[in-house]
Amino acid sequence: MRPILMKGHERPLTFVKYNSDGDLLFSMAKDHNPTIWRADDGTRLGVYKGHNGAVFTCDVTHDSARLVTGSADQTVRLWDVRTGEELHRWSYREPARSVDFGEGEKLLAATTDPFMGEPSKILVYRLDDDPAKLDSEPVMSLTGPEGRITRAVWGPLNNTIVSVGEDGMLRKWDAETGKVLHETQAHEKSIVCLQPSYDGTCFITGSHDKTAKLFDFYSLEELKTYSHEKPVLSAFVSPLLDHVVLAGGQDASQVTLTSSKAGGFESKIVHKVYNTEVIGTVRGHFGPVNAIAYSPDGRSFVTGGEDGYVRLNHMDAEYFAL
Amino acid sequence: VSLDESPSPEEAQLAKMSSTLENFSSVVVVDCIPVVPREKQDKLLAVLGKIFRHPEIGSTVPDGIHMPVDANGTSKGFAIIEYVSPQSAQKAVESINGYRLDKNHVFSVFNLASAERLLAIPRTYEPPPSKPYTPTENLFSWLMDARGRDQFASRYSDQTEIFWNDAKATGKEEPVYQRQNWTESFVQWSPKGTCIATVHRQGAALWGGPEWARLQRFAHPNTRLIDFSPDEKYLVCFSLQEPSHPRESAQANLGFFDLRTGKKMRTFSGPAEDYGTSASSGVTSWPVFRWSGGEDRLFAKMGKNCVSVYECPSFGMCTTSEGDKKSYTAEALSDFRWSPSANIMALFQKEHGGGNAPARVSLVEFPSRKDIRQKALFSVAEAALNWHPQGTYLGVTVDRYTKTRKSTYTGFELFRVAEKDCPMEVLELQDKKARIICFAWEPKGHRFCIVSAPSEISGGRTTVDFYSMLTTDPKTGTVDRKVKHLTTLKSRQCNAVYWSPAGKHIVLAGLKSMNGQLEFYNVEELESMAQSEHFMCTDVDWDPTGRFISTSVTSVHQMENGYNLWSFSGKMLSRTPRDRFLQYLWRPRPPSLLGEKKEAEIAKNLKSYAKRYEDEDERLREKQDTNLASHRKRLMDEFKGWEKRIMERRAFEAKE
Amino acid sequence: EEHSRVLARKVIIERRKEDRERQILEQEKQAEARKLKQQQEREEEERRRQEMEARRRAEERIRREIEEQEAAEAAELLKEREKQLSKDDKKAPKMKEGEVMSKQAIMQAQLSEQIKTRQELERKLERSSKTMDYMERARREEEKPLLDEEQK
Repeated sequence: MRPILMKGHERPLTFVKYNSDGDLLFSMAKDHNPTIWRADDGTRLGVYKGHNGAVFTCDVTHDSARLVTGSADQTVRLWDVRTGEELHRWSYREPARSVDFGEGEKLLAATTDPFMGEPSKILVYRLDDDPAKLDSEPVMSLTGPEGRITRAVWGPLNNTIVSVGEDGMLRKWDAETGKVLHETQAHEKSIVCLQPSYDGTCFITGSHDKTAKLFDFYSLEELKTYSHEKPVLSAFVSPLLDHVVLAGGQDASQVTLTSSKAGGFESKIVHKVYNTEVIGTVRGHFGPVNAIAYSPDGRSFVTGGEDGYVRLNHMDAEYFAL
Repeated sequence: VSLDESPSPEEAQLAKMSSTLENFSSVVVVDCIPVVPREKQDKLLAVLGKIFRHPEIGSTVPDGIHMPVDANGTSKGFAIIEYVSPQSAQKAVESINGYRLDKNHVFSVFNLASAERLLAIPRTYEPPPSKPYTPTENLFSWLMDARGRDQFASRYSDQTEIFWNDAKATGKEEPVYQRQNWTESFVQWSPKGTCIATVHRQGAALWGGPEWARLQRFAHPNTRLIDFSPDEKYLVCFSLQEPSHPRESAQANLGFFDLRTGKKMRTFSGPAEDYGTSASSGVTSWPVFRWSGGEDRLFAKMGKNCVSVYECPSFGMCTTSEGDKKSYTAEALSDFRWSPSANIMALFQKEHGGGNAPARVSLVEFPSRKDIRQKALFSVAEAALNWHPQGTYLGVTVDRYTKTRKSTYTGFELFRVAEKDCPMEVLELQDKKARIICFAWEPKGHRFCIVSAPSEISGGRTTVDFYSMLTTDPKTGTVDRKVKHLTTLKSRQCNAVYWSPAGKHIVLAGLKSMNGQLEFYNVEELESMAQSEHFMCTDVDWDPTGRFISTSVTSVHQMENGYNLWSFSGKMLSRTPRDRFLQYLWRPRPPSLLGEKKEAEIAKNLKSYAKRYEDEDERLREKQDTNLASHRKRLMDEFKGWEKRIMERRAFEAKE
Repeated sequence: EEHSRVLARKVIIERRKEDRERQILEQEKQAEARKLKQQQEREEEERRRQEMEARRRAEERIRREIEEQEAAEAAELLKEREKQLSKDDKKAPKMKEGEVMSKQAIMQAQLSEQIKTRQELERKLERSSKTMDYMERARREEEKPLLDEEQK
């Protein structure tokens, strides 16, 4: 398997996402420039100019018309995917960490970091096809726990919002009342990522405790634990095979040597059900792998590294024969 | 199953069952199941049903599980199971025998066909020959593993674990014993592996036997270090008492204990610096009392210009031929080492008497104090004494001054201690200015290895040389007792070597600055078997048989902690990451009880054994395959069950 | 009146003459500029041609160098291989006299030989691993009764 190396970002990657057709790829980085790529050959198609800080997450509508991004510049911005025009801006006094469109794309959930005495928050907005009619005021504001919420996503049917945070807790919020319906100590250490499966039945979390876990999206029942030798910074469930992919690595500051072996900067494909069985590993990054995503057809996956590179891996025929 | 004299109901039951069967080959008996009262029997039957009617095994006839009860209705601790097919019965024996239900119940399953003979003659039947009597603490049980495996202890965080190494057969290790906070500082196997020592504030403790019971305790407060005598007769504990006054020096206390009785035989105490300990650098020389290789009879400690030799079991100082209890005096004594196999001591004295008396290596026998051999050495800066592990040879690495006395170069003095008159030879490397990194004898062999840094620029690479003390002509069989150079390996990333305890194989390792490079080398064939790496590896250890190697990264290094297991030829067998990894210790084995003759006989007839072992291994592999398949099936069924529930829920919600 | 007419005419003639002269001067200037431009173009053309020529020559040189290097490497590899083969009891077929092998072909041959050697070594190690294991197991089996005796 020969990966396609996509150079465009100047700073560490934070998030990668495919659109629903799987032909476009969005990458977020600390360099302020959300970038759009062609998903089959890695051609850079454009950059969304405007943010003044690191960009942490994004979401894209089902029809690939709108992109939403959350940034350390204390804004969440809505973009026209095709023209790159900024359609709307929600501003805060805190960095915006995570963004997620609800089912049907009538709702948006955004989170802000704790900052200058303000606690972390989850904010819910109503969306409108006409940018002129967009409301800057949230329909609901949930005050989060102490510490950062690393990601918040809509639960099935938009009834709930599921959040994970630095406290290792997994919380389910009632999207109507804003009450915490359920909370559990999902990981021993900070949870860094949460990625729903494409079919929306489960999601995978990754943590500094060197494990990733698979959860039932409805009941939050823990289905599987996957152990990794390094902190898991990103994880994704394959939509095609019974596989999950985990990646991460030791914090660059803790790695004394420059050897890429030292930090364990590889992506590891593990069997989703036989959780201790490793299918294979993919190496190449020179720093921790902060972001990972399978394509919607499950035939490729993309990784974003602390080293500023995006690597696109189209799987070999052997992989599917496994 | 205990069969008593009178015909019991279960015998009747068996007879009844057997009458309906052509033979017993589809019936198995499971022994060592829990003994339970009537009310719990249904539950136990259900559990047994789950195990014995597992889809991988097959189904039983209706009501095929029969559990005999006594007069009170209490079960008797065994059950009889009748399968539909003999194949299922066979599978049950293979896969369930040895099944661990809980801590106290390990199933013993056997086919009734094999017990048929017993039933045919119940009246005149004599009880089977009773198993050899084993005392409650059989300290040898670990030597009798049916598959010839070895144990190791591993310590990480506050956990101490003992495993069977099963890396080759099953790719993993089988837990033997595990205990949190077993020790307060470290663990140490006794030299022959009989027991393991833990170290505590109050002293040391020994553990062993199949249940890892405490065998002995040794009260010695604040024990810091321990040492076993090589024959496991005695244990030495060392502690340091901080001075009450800052100007005074710390006090060292050593306790000598009888290992079996726990009785304290003798104590030594005095200023710490007299016992190999300095305030600035801690313990510099341990063990400070060194045991001779001769059956735990002598031990000795170096003093200023002398060695004090003590004898057991009196623990008093050895007497001279005149009957005086005196230390053995040696001017400018720098180091001494006992032969690992005899009461022979090698001593190194530095130049003294203002340069009038040259440096000297001597071999002295104790308690007779008879000189075996002496060698004067000139212009010597430093020397290191290296005994061959079986005491066959002594190698002395000698650093000599050049004429200008500005630098030194290294040579080797090799003593053939086991030969008549102890002949000796001098060896110098071709590259005279090379810096010697290590010298290592081949155990159970005649070869040695020298690692050196060449004098010309080498980019930090080193040179490895192999020599042999003797060569045998393959045609005539004559032995030439001369040192012969075997080969030179240039440009290696190697700063430490580890010989297999069986000889022949060696691991050339590049630890620390060389990142953990490993080369597995066959010295007999002069052939590199594999090159590999365990990144940041800090320790390399051979198992006691020379079949396996462990490499580990202990917590002296912050990252990558854990251990890898390899075959002797450098094939990686398993990898175990463990945060805060502290110790990896193979359990040593006592010397073999087989004589040379018997060993040769085994080697000659190896084929007859091999066939059986091959079959055993094959069965094991098959069993593993079925186990894996059933494990996978169980996981998959569970997961599919979850998926089904989710889909149903979705369908329901869609309707809503 | 006559005079003034003549005078006027004279002025006109003068003016025409001047115009004419200016025109000629202008034309000359233009011709000059054209010439200069043509000259420049020619020079430019020449420069381009020379550049191309130089590039072509450089490329040729590099190609030649690569070829020479490949040939040298091939020869080196061949030598190595011959050495190896003579060491390995001439298992692999030797090169025919005068046959020229490309570097790729030699490398390919070498690679397959390496794989073969490696496989052979692995088989050998596996055999010796089994022997060692069986030997140890047999020894322990035979030692067992002796240990039982010792335990009594």
